[in-house]
Amino acid sequence: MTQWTFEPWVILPMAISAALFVVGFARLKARSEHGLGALKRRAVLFALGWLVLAGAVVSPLHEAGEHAFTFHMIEHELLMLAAAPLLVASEPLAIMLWAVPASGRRALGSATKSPAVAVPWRTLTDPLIATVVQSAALWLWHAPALFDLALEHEGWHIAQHLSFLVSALFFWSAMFHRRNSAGVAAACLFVTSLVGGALGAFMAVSVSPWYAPYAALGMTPIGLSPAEDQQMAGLIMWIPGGMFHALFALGFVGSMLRDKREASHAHP
Amino acid sequence: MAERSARRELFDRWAGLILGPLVWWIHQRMVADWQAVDCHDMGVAGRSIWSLLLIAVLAWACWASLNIWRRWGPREAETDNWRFIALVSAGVAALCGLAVFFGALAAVIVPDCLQQ
Repeated sequence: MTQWTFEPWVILPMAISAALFVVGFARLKARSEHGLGALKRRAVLFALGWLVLAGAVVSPLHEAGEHAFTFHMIEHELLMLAAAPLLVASEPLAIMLWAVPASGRRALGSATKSPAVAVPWRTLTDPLIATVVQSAALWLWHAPALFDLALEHEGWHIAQHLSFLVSALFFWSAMFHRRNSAGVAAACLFVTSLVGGALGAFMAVSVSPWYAPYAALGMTPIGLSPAEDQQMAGLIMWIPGGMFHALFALGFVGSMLRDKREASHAHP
Repeated sequence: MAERSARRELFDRWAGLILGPLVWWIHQRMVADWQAVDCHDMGVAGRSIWSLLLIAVLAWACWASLNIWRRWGPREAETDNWRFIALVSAGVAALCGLAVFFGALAAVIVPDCLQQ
């Protein structure tokens, strides 16, 4: 279980994204006289998100997930709850854009404003739609038939991880976007906390394993039976997963209350 | 009459905030403690009817608080605060309704009695 996973479908996009960010960052830094602090902060967030992503899908954790559901769950939680929000908070696309030549940058910039890109982007980063999509991805992929498929076929496994990561990226983009109100973000985060927490709770109280490939493995390397392994995975999704969304929601409620207090001080 | 209407409005404003956690607690006591831990069998029909009734109470609380939020005009310092409370109240009722729904789903999926 100490084997690193160097699959081209993982390494290649990660290397390209890192290269684009580094080149874009260097060019922007050379041109920036002001706002260097904010740029550096975004670089730190991107580096952290990228490292967490690598820790989830490249480090031995990925291989361990093949032998124990608990590790697989930790991998999913890292993708959706750590890597995705950190990457979104770093707002990497604007920086990566600077990695391409000026003509390409202009072309890409105008392409993002075209309805073909702007409309799907606005739709998928709408807080309610993003919440529904992420919750649907979470529940559908944990249905035994689909999860078994992902465990047995590498292609479906890639599709599962991509769905989790991409839906989480849209979800956190919706939560952090300035156009969306803090109240709506808080409500979506509370709902996500309940929806994810409920799935985890079902796993945690289930007395029989849901997924045939894990059940067939017998005792896990950490000494848990398949049912106990699933209960542990369910607890990870339920408690830390649910708490994470709930704490973020409380943060948004706090900022909403602060805004109200400031507004009432400004207009007594 | 006006006093009664003011009292009703006051209750509606706080309905979700009061009933939400209370109903969730009652449902939790019923399906988790009373049924799963103490093993009192209500049957699937009994559990479902009670769950639906409690969800209906929360749907009403959400609707009542939401009505208050909609009715009052914005941008007046005092009513703006009450509107905010009504909106939070509606949100809490909706969230607790979702929690009761998942609790009800769990009561159908997981074993009736965890002591068996």
